[in-house]
Amino acid sequence: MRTVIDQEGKLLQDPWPVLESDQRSGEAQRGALHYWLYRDAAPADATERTAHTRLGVQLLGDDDRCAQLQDLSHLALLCIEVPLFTDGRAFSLARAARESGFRGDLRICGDFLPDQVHYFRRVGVSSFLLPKDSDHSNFVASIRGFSDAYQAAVDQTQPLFRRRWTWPMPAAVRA
Amino acid sequence: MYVYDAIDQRLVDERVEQFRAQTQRYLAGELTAAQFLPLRLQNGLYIQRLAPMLRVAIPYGLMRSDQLRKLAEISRRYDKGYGHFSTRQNIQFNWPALEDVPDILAELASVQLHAIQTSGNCIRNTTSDEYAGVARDEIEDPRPYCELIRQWSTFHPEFAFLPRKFKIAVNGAVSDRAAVHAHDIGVELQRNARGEVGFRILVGGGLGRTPVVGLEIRPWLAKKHLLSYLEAILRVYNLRGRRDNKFKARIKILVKAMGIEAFREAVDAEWQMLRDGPTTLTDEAIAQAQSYFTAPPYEALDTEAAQQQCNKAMEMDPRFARWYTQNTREHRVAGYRIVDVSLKAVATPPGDISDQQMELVADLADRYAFGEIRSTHQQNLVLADVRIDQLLEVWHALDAAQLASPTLGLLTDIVCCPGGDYCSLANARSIPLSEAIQRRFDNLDYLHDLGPIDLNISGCMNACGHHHIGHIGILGVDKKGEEFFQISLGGSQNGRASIGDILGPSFGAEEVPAVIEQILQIYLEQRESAEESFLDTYRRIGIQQFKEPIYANRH
Repeated sequence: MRTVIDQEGKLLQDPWPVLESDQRSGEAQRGALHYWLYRDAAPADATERTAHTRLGVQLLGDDDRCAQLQDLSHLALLCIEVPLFTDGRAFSLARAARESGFRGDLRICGDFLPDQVHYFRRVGVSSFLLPKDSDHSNFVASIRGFSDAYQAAVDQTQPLFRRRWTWPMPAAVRA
Repeated sequence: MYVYDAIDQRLVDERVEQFRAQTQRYLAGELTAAQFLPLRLQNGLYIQRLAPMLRVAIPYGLMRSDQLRKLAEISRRYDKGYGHFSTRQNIQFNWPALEDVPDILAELASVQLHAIQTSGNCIRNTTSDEYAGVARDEIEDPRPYCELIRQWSTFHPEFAFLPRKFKIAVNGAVSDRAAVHAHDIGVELQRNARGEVGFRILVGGGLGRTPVVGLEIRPWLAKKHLLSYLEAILRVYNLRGRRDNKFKARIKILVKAMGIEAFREAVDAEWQMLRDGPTTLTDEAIAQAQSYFTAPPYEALDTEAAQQQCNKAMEMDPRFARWYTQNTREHRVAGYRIVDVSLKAVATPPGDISDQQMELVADLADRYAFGEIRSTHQQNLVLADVRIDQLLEVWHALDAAQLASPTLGLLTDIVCCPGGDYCSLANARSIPLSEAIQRRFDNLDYLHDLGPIDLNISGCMNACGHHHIGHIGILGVDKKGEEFFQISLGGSQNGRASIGDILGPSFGAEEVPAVIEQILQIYLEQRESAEESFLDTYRRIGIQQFKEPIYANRH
């Protein structure tokens, strides 16, 4: 049983089941990226199938730029699989996806810690497919992170210095 | 000095509670050691040979007296009554108990100290020139930019799981006291052709297994672009740095593999998407950051009278004169001098300081130095603003507390890592060797005659003692299970930065002091004059002049 939570920590009724590898059709290899397709209760018709198709991207190998996925606008779900929780590329990829205009559900799956979800949330991740057999309460508890942030990201595009240091300093204070 | 507002304080407090919860989960068995590892590292906590080690951040080396007192208190309550200043301006405690660390962090937070990101594969403490704001050769004070970088890098969501650690240093003077060429990113305040102050950016410097001098990626960057440009560099590194081999994961390896041209292009491509965006610094933000680092209320002294008084005291007491010459420096304000507080007393591990000594320095700071203290990456402290006519009193107090060894910049002002006595990574014990060298070369006249010599000792290839950039570098190696030391010559961190040349096969611990003596003898014989420094002589005559005589009677 896979658990999916959204960026508020709410459990989701996930409409996108993960396909097992033998179910993956249209699995393509572009460079070193593997793709697989999430499909909902899909009609057999090819056109309709495409309309209901989602793309999952697995991080592997040397070629890891999200630019590999040329146009993300047709995707409703983009899932980045983290191979190992120490591999922080997913944070940059997630952010790049959002900054290139991806508006769909940006999901993280694979190996990640509850303590990483608030950073994922900051870079624009909107849902989490939790590791198998994990206790979702820890993930939910960690999702808020801190009450504010110094630097710009996706959830807050204005760095703190733009929000709190907005008036010119009076000359007298600067010796 | 930067002043926390309610937001800064809340963030530090929230971090403490976050780590408290993580520690509880770990102790309850809900987190494996591997899962707890990055979390505790990013709160400065190492598990070491004898006990956990906690590394507390001293942002760009600047402290208030009450902060130093709190560190003294913590060393007393939770440790063995001392702390250790590191080569990145931080302070380390060697003996805290794991379950006490959340409480220690809470105490630190009460005086706006923390251990955030002092370890782990994230952006570490941004370090700087210990004479920032007071040096005569300063172009512009680097500290406002250090503070802006600190904030930008703290809890940066994109860069908490980098391929490896990341270290940034900022220098604002002509002389480089921040070793910017030996950092992952070095930032130098520079004027362009129009006289505008901006940043020269260096990338890919570093010590360790594969020491490299940083390369220039950008000769001049307007101030407002600082953070967005750094972000572009970090992003390229995060995406492309090697993750397959821990020893090939630093940015210096990536820059070397790509070549600086291709690396620059990759950074520029990322930067185009960030440039002029919200991370661009505003005039208001720069002004606000600068407002925290203004001059203290210097008194208008009768400088001549003050100097005469001081000179008289020097005539009366040659020991005071020696300390004045070696351990104090010219200040940009007439009537004041910069005081170096030496943590290199003979038979003390370099950089170690007791709780009583910390309290003494805090008191001296309050009475004589506007309440501020700096730590240096050469493991000493600084009282930056002392009136010339008060130097004698300050010296008496420091001298009584073994904080006045008049050896700043000399051979026995040794930079030394904790080594095998404390660190599980070490091949050899560096501290006993440091002591042996200090004991052997204890004649002050001889030391002064030798002139400035940077002697750096590292217990292993991780080079926490920065031996690669020592004029004389010593590296502990494990040879057939025994402790041996390899010597290098001609490293340098200032101006023409260079990595030292290895002299030859390693020596046993007992041999090393004699070899050092021989090296010094060769220097004294070969120098063109007493004014030619060890480094200059070495660069002129080359390593063979040392290698041949030293190995002539060995092996």
